[in-house]
Amino acid sequence: MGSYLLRRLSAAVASLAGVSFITFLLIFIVPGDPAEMLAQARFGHGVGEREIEMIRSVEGLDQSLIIQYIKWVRHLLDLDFGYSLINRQPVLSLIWSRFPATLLLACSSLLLSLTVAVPAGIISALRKDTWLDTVSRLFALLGLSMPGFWFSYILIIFFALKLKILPVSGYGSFVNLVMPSLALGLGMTGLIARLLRASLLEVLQQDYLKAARANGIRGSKILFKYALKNAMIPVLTVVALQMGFLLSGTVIIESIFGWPGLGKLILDGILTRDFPVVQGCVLFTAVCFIVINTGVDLLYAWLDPRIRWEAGS
Amino acid sequence: MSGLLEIHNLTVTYGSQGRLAPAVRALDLTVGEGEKLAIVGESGAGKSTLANTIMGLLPNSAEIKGEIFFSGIKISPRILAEIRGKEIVLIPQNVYNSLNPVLSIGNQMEDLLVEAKVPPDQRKNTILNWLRSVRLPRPEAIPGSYPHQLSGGMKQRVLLAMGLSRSPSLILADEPTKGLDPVRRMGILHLLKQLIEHQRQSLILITHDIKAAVFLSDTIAIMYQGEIVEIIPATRLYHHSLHPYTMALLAAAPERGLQVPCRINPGVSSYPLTGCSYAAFCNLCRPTCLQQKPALRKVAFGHMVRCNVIA
Repeated sequence: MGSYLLRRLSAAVASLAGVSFITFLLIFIVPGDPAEMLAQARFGHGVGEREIEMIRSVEGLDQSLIIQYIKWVRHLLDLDFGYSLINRQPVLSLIWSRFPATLLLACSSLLLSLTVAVPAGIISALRKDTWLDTVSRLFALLGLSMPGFWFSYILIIFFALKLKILPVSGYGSFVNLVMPSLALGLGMTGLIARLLRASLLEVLQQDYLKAARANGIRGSKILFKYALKNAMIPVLTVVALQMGFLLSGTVIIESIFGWPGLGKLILDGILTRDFPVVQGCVLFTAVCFIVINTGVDLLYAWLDPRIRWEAGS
Repeated sequence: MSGLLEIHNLTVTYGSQGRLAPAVRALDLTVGEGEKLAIVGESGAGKSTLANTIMGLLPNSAEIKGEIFFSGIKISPRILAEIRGKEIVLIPQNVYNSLNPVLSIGNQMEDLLVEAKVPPDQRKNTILNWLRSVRLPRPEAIPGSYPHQLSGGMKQRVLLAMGLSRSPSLILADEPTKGLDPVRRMGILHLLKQLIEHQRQSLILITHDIKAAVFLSDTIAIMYQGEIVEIIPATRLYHHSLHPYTMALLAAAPERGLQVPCRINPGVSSYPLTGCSYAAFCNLCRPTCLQQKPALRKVAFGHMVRCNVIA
């Protein structure tokens, strides 16, 4: 187990190094001269060649890429993500100010979709080819195929404009959370329900389940202890990936509902060419993904002893 | 004759509206207390379907007709749920996948003790005693292990321990040595024989291994296309069997040169709707065999044959 942990953690560090380099290159990939962009942000439009060259020299943009990267990483290790070109605030504090909103929305939509998808997937598998299964699969398909932004507007029209029981947008209270969570959770619900159904159906066919029943193990124990634990392993991968997407902020849904999360911060950053903010957000998102995936790898080992064994051998 | 297990006119069909051929056809069978019966036949003969029907483990798509009595009580899903794992046990055929890979052996064995309402403080010792009874080396190391850490032979011993520990009246062993090498196979067969004889339990052994059937059982039932074609005392099998299919099965054994029967009567279907199901391959086939379904008739004490020509 110790070597497995070490291997997963070193893979995480390697991924972080790769991601940080790509994120660093972002400024050189976007069209235009970085020094000019910085100069324009600092002195306004119509800056002269002298100011641009001064910025290039002050910011070290005339040095080699490797030197610049090393310097940038050193700043990152001091938790210095740079400053926003627009409002001059530290990027990290901008991210931290937006992250709670994103985390809240991510957790509530994940909780919502798991609450619906897990029972739906189980019922669907246990009652395969009955009307319950058909209804559940139909809703799952609907959830998967309906675009989030479209569903958001349907929700707004129905709950906010017609019934007038929920606010159109905003942040700060429970009622504000309902519609964005539903809009975000819908697709995920469909995905998890379908995947759990397929995975559980496969496990239910396994000989060890038949053997357990033949040995007199009954009812809920067969389902929850002997089948569901095995069936959850592939589902977990998808849940982790979805959580990664959610934590990186969902640009469209956050924009529609005016939710002050990371997605909206990235979108504003892109629109205003505030590349330190974009760079910081991308890096932060990548870190979230890596942390979650490493967590899931460790969870796998807990769920499936064969992974622990393979790692140890 | 009344027995521990009685099967009357059992037909099992897979698929909807009887579109597929029945896996088990109008089968009658009785297993007495302490009797050891082997059901022998080629793959697809319906042996495992029969075992799964008795255990109530068939998929929902299977259609079952007929009656099964256990100790004089007609078996229903509710009764099966009560007696499965206690009175009747199944030793499964797939050694490699019959233990849950994500649960430790001890955990899976403890679940049986929970079902049997054994107090928690006695469970550890009971598990060790079970493991000792199947002669597993270092039994104290087994409960903490996971199935992938055990060899095929060890897994089968664990499955035997789980199956036989609660002293069932009837043991259904479905190919208990499948996938094991010859040395381990003999080890498991000897162990199974000793355990069963020690407790005087009834056994239904399902196998295509004739040697194992003769070794473990008193009576052998030969199954072909869902029907029993011959029932014969195990000691008489090699020299006194009469049905052409039994003869062919014996000739197909590796030690007799693996003679695989070929179709003798080309115009006859391999799955005839009327007449004898073995007609296409039978060297004794007469015109009546194509029209008349043979019944299982007694030819000697404990010996029955389903053949229009012989009996």
